Amino acid sequence: MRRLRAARLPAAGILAALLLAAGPAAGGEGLEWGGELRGEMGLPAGEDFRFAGAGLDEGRLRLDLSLEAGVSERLRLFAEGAVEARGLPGSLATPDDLASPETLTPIGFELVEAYADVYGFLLPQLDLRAGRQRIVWGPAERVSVIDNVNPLDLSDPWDFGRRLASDAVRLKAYVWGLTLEAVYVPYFRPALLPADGSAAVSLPAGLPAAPLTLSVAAPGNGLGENATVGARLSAKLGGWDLAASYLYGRTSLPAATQVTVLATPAVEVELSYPRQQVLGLDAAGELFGIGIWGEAACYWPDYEVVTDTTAVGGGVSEERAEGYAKWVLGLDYTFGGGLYACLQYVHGFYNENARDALNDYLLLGLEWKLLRDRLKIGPLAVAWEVDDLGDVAGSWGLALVPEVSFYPVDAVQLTVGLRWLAGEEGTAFGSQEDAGELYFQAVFRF
Amino acid sequence: MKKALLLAAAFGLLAAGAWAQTPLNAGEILAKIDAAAAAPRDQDFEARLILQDASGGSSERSLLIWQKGADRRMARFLSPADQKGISVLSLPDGSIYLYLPAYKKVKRIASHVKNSSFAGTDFTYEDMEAVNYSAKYSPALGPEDERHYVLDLALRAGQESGWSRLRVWALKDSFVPVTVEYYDRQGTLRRRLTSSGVEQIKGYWVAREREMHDLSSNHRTRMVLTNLRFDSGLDDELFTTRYLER
Repeated sequence: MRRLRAARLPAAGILAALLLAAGPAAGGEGLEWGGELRGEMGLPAGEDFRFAGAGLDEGRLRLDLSLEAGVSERLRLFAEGAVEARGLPGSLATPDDLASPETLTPIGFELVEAYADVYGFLLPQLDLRAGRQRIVWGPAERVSVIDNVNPLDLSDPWDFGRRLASDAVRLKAYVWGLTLEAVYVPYFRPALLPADGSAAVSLPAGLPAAPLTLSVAAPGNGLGENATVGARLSAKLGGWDLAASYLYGRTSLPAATQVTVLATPAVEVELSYPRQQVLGLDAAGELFGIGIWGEAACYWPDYEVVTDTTAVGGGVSEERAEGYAKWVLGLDYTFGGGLYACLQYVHGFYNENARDALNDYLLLGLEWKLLRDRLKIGPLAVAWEVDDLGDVAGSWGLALVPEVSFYPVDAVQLTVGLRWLAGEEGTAFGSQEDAGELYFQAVFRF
Repeated sequence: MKKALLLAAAFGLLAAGAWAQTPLNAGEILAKIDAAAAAPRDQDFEARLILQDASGGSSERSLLIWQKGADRRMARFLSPADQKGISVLSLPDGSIYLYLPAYKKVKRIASHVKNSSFAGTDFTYEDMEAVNYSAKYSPALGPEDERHYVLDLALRAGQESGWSRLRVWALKDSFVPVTVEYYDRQGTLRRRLTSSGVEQIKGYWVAREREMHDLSSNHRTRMVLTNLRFDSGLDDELFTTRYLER
């Protein structure tokens, strides 16, 4: 389940007031609102998927509201906010907790997006989008290696591929059949980690078995320290959509940059968000009616891992992070009877950010729509992880996510699904074998 | 001399009349059907899609459609809420782009999708594109009646479609197809399109209602067109991924 954001209820109130103000005109010319109410509940499967002693997960109820105002032909405003309430109360350890509304009924607010679009900004062929926004790069489905402008949202590890919107300025120019996009993100925002954040952090290999202390060194407030800039040039050539992109920013996930081994014994690891450059290429098109896409990205991180073992009789060593490449190849096809299949080969998952940490994955998504889209079986997602192509039997991992959704009436979706992980020890999926669950969702859109 | 000129003119008129009454061949009829469909320089309208299942249950979708020439079309969903804002762009080179507002993503869709259901209706993505029968099918004359030309269309070699054969009934006065039967590769009749409410707007013939009947599931989708506009001067820029995202 996604973790609650920090409670900022005044902002929720402002959004509600905006919507109320919009009420009489809602649906009228130029002003529209909508959203969804989503409830989720999970039953963790526990060890060996036996549901032994299984309780409920924390559950959540989330209300997303969006407001869109077409102020004029050339100006449009969009805002989306969400209020999220957790099913289970927080930790109830003392009588004071029982008197705390925040603990008894945890609730949070998130400004998902809020931006203004100016079409024909300064020049007829130039569009501006300014504000909190999602900037999507690359054709791959959920496992893009190019889509790096926004930070990762790992609050729900099962819903991978999600990203948080960034406060940014984006300019898009359309000239001579080319699209040139330039982005500037003034504020650095790191990835949102899962509830057990430390589990998402990659640590250097060979650390001694000793109590570990992690600390985070965030970038300062300087203009230059925070900035992310990037550009993307895309064109259509021979029926294919081609693009090249460049991004100069920071790693979204923290990297261990300072390791200090103490005599106590203990290990202190300082995590930071080093600078990195990413050069990406992508293409999308079709062959014989089959959809095909590919992405490749070269990453050049700019940092050194400093290991200090002077307290245990060693010295100080520095190891420079090496550049590495990730790629994705994908195919999709719709068979008769409403069966859609999508196959992707991925070298380097979103959380693998060093040359020796890259693994290979084969992802198969199947979706079968029946009864005029009233029933959807899928995504029957199968992810096969092979860490060592020379030792498939000893390095495999598998994730299965079968799901059935029923749409009793338009805009109402009821879902039941299963998340199942297995694999050899040490693989990403194998190490999470006990994280499987049975889950239920109800979504009402308006 | 004057008499001779009048005689020549009379002969000319008679010859022209005889020419006008020469029966059209299948290719000419099909070309006229395509020409009638592609006659407006551009058009835009609102389409209500009413889905009716065999047990009488129904649901509805609505969308705005813009079309320029015979091969550029953009469709944007207005309802239901879970599809609102989803947009589809079809371009002359056959490429299709889908915009999903929830993901802020423009997605290229390969032609495999053309024969699949459009938003759960009985229409396919191919049905929602502008029609050009001549490019895809070779025609043969069927048994015409007083009001209709009847054509049997066979899929041309190298062309892709979910249907191997169509039978088309087109009105003789307007060349608007009022019934189309669709046969699969096994030659089985699978569905029937019927059009009604044929009228002339701004000099162009159009059917305001179309119903696609899936004969195997006995499911129907009725498409009702409203707010029809022709030749309003739609800009080429409307049919780009730039506008798809708006």
